[in-house]
Amino acid sequence: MRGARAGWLGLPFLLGAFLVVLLPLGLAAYLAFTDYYGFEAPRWSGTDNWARLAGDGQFWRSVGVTGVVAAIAVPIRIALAVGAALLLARQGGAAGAIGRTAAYLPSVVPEAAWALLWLWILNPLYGPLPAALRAVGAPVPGFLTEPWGARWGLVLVLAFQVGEAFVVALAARRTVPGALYDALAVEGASPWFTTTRLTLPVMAPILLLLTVRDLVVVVQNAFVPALLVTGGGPGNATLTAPLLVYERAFEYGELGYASTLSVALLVLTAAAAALPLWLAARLAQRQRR
Amino acid sequence: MTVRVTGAQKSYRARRGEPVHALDDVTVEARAGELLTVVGPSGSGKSTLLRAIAGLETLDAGSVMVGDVDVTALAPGRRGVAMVFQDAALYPHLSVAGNIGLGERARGRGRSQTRERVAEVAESLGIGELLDRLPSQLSGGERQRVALARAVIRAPKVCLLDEPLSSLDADLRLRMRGEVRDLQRRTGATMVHVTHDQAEAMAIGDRLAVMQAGRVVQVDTPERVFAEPATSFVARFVGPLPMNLLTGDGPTRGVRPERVRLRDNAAGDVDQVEPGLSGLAGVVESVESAGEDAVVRVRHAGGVLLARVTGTSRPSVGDQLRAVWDAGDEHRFDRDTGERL
Repeated sequence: MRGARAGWLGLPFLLGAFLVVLLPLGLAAYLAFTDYYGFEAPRWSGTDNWARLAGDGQFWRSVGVTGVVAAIAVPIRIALAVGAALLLARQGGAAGAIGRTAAYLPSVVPEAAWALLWLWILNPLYGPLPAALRAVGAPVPGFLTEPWGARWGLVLVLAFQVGEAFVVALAARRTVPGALYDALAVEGASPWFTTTRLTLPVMAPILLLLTVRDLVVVVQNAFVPALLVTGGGPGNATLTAPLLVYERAFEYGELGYASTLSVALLVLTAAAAALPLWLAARLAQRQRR
Repeated sequence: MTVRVTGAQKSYRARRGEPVHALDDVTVEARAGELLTVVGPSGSGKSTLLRAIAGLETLDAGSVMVGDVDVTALAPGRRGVAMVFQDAALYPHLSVAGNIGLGERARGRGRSQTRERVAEVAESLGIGELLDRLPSQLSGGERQRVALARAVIRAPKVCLLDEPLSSLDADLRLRMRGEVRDLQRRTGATMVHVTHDQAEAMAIGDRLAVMQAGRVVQVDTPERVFAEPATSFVARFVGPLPMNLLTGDGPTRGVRPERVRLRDNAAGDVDQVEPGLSGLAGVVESVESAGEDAVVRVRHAGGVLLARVTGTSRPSVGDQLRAVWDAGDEHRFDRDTGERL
């Protein structure tokens, strides 16, 4: 009875999920099979869009760009989030509070402001990062002017906004029972041994879930910096899949075909997430206490 | 190897108010090859003492010696001390073999050597069949055996046991007591064993160290702790039943319920005293069956007295009777300090 009544509390959330997520998703799935330009009613076109997609080199290249950026950015982001979490997990007092705030702060900055900030940091003429690299005599990649430089620029913009993952990793670290650390301390284990043989393996299921989430976040977030920092250039080198969808939809007005691209992107992302999700479930099952 | 703790002090600052003295000038020694059981109620500091020996807590003052080495400033891993934790503290992601072997790997032993040694130790503890299982697939007793194996694999000279049996059910606990004893005899290790269960302490300790409020109040063999408790606290804490304490003008008098005999007193006679006997008159408040024996609560002028009576002639609730005991069975404690007189 109580459970049934409590269930009603979820209603606003369900309503929101329906209006903001499920309904648009359903519409997109429908529009993916239509010709639709926003001026007249969508016209059913069967699998025409999908045939076009199969041969759309630009789309597949953008998927490749997205994949490359994610493949570099996600491990860096997870490493930063988990590294900061492990360092700060047992740091109490003011130093711990400052550290935790610093790790979370970049995630609070609005996307667009963050992107514009990096546009300045990476600027080849007066940006502090190229200047610093020049000062130590390191090679300076053309962050905004060369294909790989621009991709690295994109990775840099994405790398530090890891606040949510940091908080989750911090919580995960704190769920590891202290007695396990005591046991290993009595055995004389080094900090490295303890981290690699106890902490990370016990956290592994949660880390895998974080990886999946991060993959999704990066694929989505790769849109803003690609739009504002690199503009997809130079020469489409950073034309990520979400940016391509945006261009198709709002610059070319091909809402039907853009929906097709969206749905395809969703399917590809889900496929990429499946393996780590499956692994996480298996590991969690193994460790259940 | 002896383990000697000298003048150990440890206090925790409570969030508000006075600091709590977990250890208050504790000096205690476990002799080479003996099983010393540290026993006391929860909060008496016994776990803190054990963790201080292991190096998991640092002392505010005092020292810890293992053999001839002052280990007070050494990290836990450098003290040559193995430890078995409450609830086993098994690594959830590792198999039984992985759990037993992880310490060896941490100390730099090779993979194949570790595997051999793990098999050997597991066999000796009767868990050779379980090596591929995960902790989540083990029963309570099996988990505790794995925890023991994890300690034994280093062939430790000193082994610390922190309430290793407290999470087991009664039947298993009795069996595991024997196994801990056996293990100690087989390995010859000096063991310091912490428990809040005085029956367990009496059963497996070569000697007991009784703790109360951060202090060690008595260290002696189980027999002598039972027969000559150093304080009225020990008298009530150790033993199957707490000792009866009778307070009055003079020193506190104590008598074990096992030593009390009950006599008919239908006349309600209060003053009848026989030579060599002490006693008091009272009314039976309750009779609790304890197998062959019965525990009788006798309400008297100064409170309640427990008597353990044998045989079938049990009194009934409401009976007027006299509880008597030999004057020689009486213990005397200082009324204020509780110290034995």
